[in-house]
Amino acid sequence: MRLLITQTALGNRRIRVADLFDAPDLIEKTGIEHVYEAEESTTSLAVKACRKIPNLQARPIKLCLMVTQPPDDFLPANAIDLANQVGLPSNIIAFDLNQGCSGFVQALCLVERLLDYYSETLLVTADRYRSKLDQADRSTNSVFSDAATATVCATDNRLGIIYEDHYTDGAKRNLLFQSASKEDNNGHLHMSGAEIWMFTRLQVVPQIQKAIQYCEENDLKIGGVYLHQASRIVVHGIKKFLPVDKSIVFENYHIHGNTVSSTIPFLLKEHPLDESGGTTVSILAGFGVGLTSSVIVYGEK
Amino acid sequence: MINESELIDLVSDALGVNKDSIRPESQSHEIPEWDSLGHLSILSLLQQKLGDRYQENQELASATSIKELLECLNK
Repeated sequence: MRLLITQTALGNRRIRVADLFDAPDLIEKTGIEHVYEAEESTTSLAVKACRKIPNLQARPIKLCLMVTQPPDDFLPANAIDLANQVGLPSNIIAFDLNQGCSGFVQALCLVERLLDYYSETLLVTADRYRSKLDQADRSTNSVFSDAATATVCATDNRLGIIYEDHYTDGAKRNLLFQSASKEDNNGHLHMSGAEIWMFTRLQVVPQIQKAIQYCEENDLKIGGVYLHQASRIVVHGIKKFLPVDKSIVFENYHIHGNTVSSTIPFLLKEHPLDESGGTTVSILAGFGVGLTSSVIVYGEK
Repeated sequence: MINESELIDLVSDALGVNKDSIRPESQSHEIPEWDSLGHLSILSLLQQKLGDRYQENQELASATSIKELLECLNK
């Protein structure tokens, strides 16, 4: 599997976090000075990202997979509307993946297997969390941004996922949720930031350390580490425990905020995967809603 | 590992509030700054200050009072 191109789109309304909350240390902790809010639908934001891909309609796309949570429509799948709007042919499959911050990494795991038949896939991430937030909740309002990305994935037998490790724990559902029922937290998104941070320390850090150990045992050089960009306190809290050169653990939370399933593709646009193959690999780690955590190593098969 | 007075000092530092506003019986819901993000700051500062003496666990993350934090830290 190769990722041929990634394009992105951010919510058009730029909001200064300091204008939302009078707490000077807030930005110091999150590292996020501006968040972005979309004044359009999630699908519309996704269309913007897709339309930045040159000649998308001419590409032999066979599958359109949209990672989105929560979607604009309960039905039909939002990927179907998206596929129509960007001019994909009708002889394709299009469906949604209802997953959050681990969604892109998990989608790559699925796409790699699906590429055996659907030899070129459009993988889209799109979330508009800001419309679900309680305005008074600074732990969510100060970090989340609305965004979308579009990545074309194609068959390539030389490169792909050579290691993967997943964790899914529904018992921690209450730490990050938005219920369909308005009775639950008034229908707003709820996030227990401290407990999720602890989850990243107790679960995500060991998972990534295991992946690094796999690379060491197989004499693989790690060229890049792509972590979900939750916020500075989360990213730095993980980064300090990783036995790698810190300059290859990329960061962009300070530029875009937490764009949910889009954080890693935003990183990929700025730091494309090393596809030279050989012994150089990349580690991608998405974690969050579920709670879930997925870590992969990408390199030469 | 940490006594009550040290913990109160640390919590007030983490939350950016006056030490006098935190008492041994204080609970998170009584202090506006002690929301989810505030608690995250407390955990982060605990890790910085206590280093190897500090054992992270999920109970600490869900503690909602000085008393609970103290119990978790001194187990």
